[in-house]
Amino acid sequence: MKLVTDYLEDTAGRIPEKTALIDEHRQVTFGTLQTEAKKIATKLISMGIEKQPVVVYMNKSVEVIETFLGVAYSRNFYSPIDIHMPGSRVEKILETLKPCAVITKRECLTDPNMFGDTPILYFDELMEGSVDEEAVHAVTARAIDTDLLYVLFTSGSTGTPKGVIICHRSVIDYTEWVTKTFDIDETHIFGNQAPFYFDNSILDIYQMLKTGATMNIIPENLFSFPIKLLEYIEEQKINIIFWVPSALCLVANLKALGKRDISGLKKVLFCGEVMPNKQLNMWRRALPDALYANLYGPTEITDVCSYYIVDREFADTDSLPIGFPCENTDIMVINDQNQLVTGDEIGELCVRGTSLSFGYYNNPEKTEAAFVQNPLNTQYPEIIYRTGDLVKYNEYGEIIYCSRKDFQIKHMGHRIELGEIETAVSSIEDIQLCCCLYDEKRQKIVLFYTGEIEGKEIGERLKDLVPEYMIPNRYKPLEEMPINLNGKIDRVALKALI
Amino acid sequence: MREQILELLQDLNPDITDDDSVNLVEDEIIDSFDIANLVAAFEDAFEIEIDGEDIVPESFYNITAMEALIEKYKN
Repeated sequence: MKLVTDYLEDTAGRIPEKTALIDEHRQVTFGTLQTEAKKIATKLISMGIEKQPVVVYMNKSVEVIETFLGVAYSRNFYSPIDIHMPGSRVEKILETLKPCAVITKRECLTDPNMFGDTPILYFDELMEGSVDEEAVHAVTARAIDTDLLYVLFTSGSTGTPKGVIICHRSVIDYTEWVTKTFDIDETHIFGNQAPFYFDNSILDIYQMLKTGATMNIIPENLFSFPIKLLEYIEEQKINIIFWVPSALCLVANLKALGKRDISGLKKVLFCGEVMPNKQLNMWRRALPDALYANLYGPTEITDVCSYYIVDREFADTDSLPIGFPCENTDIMVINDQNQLVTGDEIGELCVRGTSLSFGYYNNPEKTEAAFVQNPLNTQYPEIIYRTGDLVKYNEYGEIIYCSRKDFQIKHMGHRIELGEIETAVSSIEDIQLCCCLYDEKRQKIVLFYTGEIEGKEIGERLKDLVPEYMIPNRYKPLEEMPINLNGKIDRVALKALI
Repeated sequence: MREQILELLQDLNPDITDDDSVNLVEDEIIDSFDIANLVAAFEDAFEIEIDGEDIVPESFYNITAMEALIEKYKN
């Protein structure tokens, strides 16, 4: 396999009539998926666009996946942007990305000026076009596996989102590992929860493509009604899920488990934040025959670099291991002296291998800071990615997550740099100083600030600057901001005030 | 009971007031995660066990609705 589209060529060739994708409004077979994707590719090729970024700006639907693949077939790379993102943040992404086209639906594009001069292509119009097999074939013949497949933007600590770039080869490497490790085949029906701008979705999409499994895009509003969600899982015969822990916790905390028979669900995989054993145990009691696996990894290493298939009992307060490196991935836990840790010493988790992103799009500074020369290799150039996660090994040789090196948090399943929130708050008139902390216990983002402005007002202004999930949950105005001996805001003192 | 409920609500969002005309769920003042926390808080405070089937948005629209939910289990 050279390109991810080879997976589709293979599957559509074998089982064109099998259902590939299902959403609230339609379902498509592999044959249709291939044809519609190629229509999109044909158009992009005819516009002379090749090896360029194409923004995909649509609500979560079957069409998004068709568009991703259409972009891939044309030897371009896709960048999905959340339609709920405030305009000013979209602008920052566009400044970095400079896309050659935007593919969208009319009903999603509420502000036609949002993309400036960038050519806008409407999905329904693209479907009226035809497929030029020769053109698509010619382009894919000259593509190589290190060509980019997608750019996903993540929170940036200095206020500008960072675009993580991933090539075909990394996704193929990941996809092969998932299929083998979890025994995925065309009998699988995935209940997709992950948004398509979040790389957990890479597992669902490319397992579907490679194995001929079906991907069922679960209607988003069902996640607020856990009992209806379980009914959906049962009706749609979903037998595997790969969700963010917050979604699993919500179902558990809203007492839906045990209310409906979901014994058809055989594999429960999760990734994206710490999975508390308390809620996992609730799932394990309600669904004892399922396989549970904790997957771990930042976007920069193609979704997952380590995994732990649950094989024993855990107390509610135990820490669930993040386990062992994926096959063909090397994990190095490095201490402050740039050496491998020994015993139960804590160090930074670093990753080496094909799964690595080439860096951040158009951002050499941030790239150099995180993608560095392997300190244990002085013989030749070799890059490792420093995750910023502090971990250690337990007595079974399993990796255990400890904490972050910096101010990145996971809140309700979202990766957030507290610095991004602070940058946005600082831009508000009337704010003098500000500092954002995370109350782990209550899972709340707390903003300390000085300035003549009400917390509520800050929240209102932030709606135009950052996504909803980044808006602080608590506002604590102070007379004076505590400063430490280094002249910086004293976060330790603030922590005591939470 | 209203006061107790209000206190627990304000723990999640200090701006909430005792005003039944405001639909807390539809106006997105509290979300599913908040509801999950409220359920746990109510069970603790009122020594009841709420059944999953009753954990529907309608039970959390306003304080009166939440009062009704709790009363159902106290009896």
